[in-house]
Amino acid sequence: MSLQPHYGSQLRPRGESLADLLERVLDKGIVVAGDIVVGIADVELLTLKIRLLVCSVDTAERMGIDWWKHDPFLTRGSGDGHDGRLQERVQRIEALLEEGGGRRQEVPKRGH
Amino acid sequence: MATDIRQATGWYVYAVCEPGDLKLTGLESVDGGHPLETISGDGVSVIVSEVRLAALQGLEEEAPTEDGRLAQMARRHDAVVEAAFSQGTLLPLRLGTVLRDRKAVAQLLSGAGPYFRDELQRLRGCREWQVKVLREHQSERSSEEGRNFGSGTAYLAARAAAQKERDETATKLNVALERLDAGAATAADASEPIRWLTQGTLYAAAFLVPGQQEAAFQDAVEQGGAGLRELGVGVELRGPFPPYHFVDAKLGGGPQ
Repeated sequence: MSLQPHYGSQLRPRGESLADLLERVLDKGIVVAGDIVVGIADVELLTLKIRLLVCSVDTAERMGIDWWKHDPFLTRGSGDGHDGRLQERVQRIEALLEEGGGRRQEVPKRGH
Repeated sequence: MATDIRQATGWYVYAVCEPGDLKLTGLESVDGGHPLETISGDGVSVIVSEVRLAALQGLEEEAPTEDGRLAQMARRHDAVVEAAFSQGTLLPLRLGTVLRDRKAVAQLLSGAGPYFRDELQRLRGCREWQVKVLREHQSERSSEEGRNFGSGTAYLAARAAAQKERDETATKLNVALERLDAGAATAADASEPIRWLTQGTLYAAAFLVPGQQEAAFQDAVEQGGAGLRELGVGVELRGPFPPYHFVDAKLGGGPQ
């Protein structure tokens, strides 16, 4: 087997989906808040509002994101530390195998 | 007097970097209408552009699509950060960071300059790589589905066998994933889980890798990936990226 790194013409990986891109640029990176941020027309809440949009079940489903068991931003009970990550992964593998075995993985109902 | 949003502008901040000449020609600002520039102070620089606030309005009300306004803004932001990163160490800011004016940009630099310098020093020479393990194909339907078993006992036995097979596969996958994760981590300075997973993803993590360890890191991923490929799943190595998953600061107060 050979793993070819996804180098682009510069540094960008080829074929990156919007979901992958937003995971990096919207969920990560330094956050600046406070009174130096623009306070007109709710632009100071822009990042937060877009994150809420992307994390809504409808949007996430449309974009193919399975965040609901894994994003502590909006979920409770996510794993913490190595044991938590392992537990998450076990649950994920079992869910995917179960899905492959003929059942659809149910999307949990969430309030808005 | 109320500000007219149609006329109002702010200063969009892309990244913090070390002072020096950056080549940002040919790149578009997030609103596509302003030049990119750097503003320096307290030993660091920030990459900024003026931005029409009207261009940012209502983004949270549109369903994101691959060619929609949010996608265009995110790709322009990403292109600027990556172009700068190809020229030196930087700290990426989160998408949608807009400061009031140039004075606010100067305030950011004077207030957080020491922190930015320390972080740039910590991350110098390192790049982020991402490893994703994906179910490549929809698994075979379970053996009991659509078959005539003749009796309830035979059906239950087939179901139990299918469940046992799934359990065994899950155990093997977990062992192989642990091996991949541990092997990659030994060649990296740090790792972080990727939490917004796309469907079919079994594992996704970001690794902060110093330049001199990149070959060892790629070897480790290749070795760990071989065991997973044998189990019928795909392994992707993506990068290099700016160290998005390894800057985790919130400067100032308020929500986010």
